[in-house]
Amino acid sequence: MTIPPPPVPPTPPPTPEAPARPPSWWRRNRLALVALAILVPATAFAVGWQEWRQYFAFDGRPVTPIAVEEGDSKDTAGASWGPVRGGEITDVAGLDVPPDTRLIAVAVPADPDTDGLICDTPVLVEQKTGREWRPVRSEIGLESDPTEPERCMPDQTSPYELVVPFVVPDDVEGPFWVDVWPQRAGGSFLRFSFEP
Amino acid sequence: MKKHVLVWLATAALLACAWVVTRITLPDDAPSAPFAVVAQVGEEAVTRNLVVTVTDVRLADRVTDVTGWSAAGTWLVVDLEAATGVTQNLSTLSLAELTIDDRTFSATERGTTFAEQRLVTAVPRAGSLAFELPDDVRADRATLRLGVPGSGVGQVQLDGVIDLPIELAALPVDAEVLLDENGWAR
Repeated sequence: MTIPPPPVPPTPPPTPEAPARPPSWWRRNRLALVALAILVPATAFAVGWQEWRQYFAFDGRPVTPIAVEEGDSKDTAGASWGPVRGGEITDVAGLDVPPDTRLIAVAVPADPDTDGLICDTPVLVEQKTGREWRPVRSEIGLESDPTEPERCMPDQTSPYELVVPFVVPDDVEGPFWVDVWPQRAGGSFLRFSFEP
Repeated sequence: MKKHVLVWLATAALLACAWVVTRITLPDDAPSAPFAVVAQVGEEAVTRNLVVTVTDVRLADRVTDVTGWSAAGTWLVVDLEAATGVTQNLSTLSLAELTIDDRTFSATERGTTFAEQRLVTAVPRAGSLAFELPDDVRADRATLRLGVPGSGVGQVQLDGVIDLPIELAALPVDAEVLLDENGWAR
C-alpha cells in the first residue's frame, strides 16, 4: 500500500482566446470615407466655379478697370481713347438744370483703328463714394445731336468725341472716374481719372 | 398600458411639432424677398438705391396730364420726388404697385406719368403716379410699394423697397386732378 499520488492542483482551464474584435466602423468604411473627403470639397469647388463662371465669364459685365491717368490716352479694344476733357458748365441758360446742382460735361475722344466701335454711354463715378451718374441729355432739355454722340458710332471710323452731360449735387466735388466700356474690351473697361 | 400612453404622447408631440413647423415656414420667395422701408407722406425714405419723398396722395374722379390726355374713373394719385442712391444703371422706377387686401394694382401706363421714370443719382426727379382702381375699394387700406428693380425685370429681389401705408377712406377726393409734369424736383 502506497500513498496515492498527491493531488495536483487542477490546471486552470486555458483562458479562451479573446474573440477577434471586429474591425472598427472607421476601418470598415474607410473607402467611403476617403471618397467623401474627396467628393465634398470637389462638389463645393464645382458649384462655386460654375456660379463664378456664369457671373463673370462670357465678358458679360465690366469687371477689370484699365486705369488711364488724367491727360493720358490708351490704345485698346480697337481704338485709341482719350485724353478725357471736360468740366463744369456754368452758363446753363436755356438748359433745364435743377438748383443746387452742377452740370458737368465730359468729352471722350475715340480714334477707331479700322472698324467702327460699339460702347454704352460713359459713366461718371465719384471716387470717394463710388456713386455713379449716367448722362442726362434729355432731362436737361437737349435733343440728341449727331455731333455730340453719347454712345460709340459703329459706322464711323474717323476720330470723334463722345460728349455727355452729367448733373450732380453741388456738394459732389470729385475727383471722379469716367468709365467707358467698349464691347471689344470684354470683361475690362476704361477708367479715366477726371477732375473737373 | 404605459407603452400605449407613450405612443400617443409621442404622436401628439410630433403632430404639434409639425404644426409649428408649418406655421413658421416662410413662403417660397422669402430667400429673395425685398426689404421694406416704411415711409410717411412728406418724409424722405431711403433704401440702398432709392430715395423717395411722397409729397401728396389723393383720390380723384378724373385725371388729366399735361398733354391734355384725360380719363374718368376711380384714381389714386401720388405726387412724389425720387432719386437713386448709388447707381443709375437700369435705374427706372419700374416697381410702383398698390396692394389692397390681396389685390395688387400697377401704376397706370396711360397718359404721361412718373411710371418707368429714369431716376438720377442724388438729384431728385418729380412727378405723379396714378392708379386706376375699382369703385369698391374707397374704404380700404392700401400699401404703395416703390422700387428700382435693376435687372430684376419688374421685381425687386434682395434689395430695398419703400412702402407707404395709405388709408383710402381718409383721403380727400377731388373731382379732377392735373398730374404733375415729370421734371426735376424744385
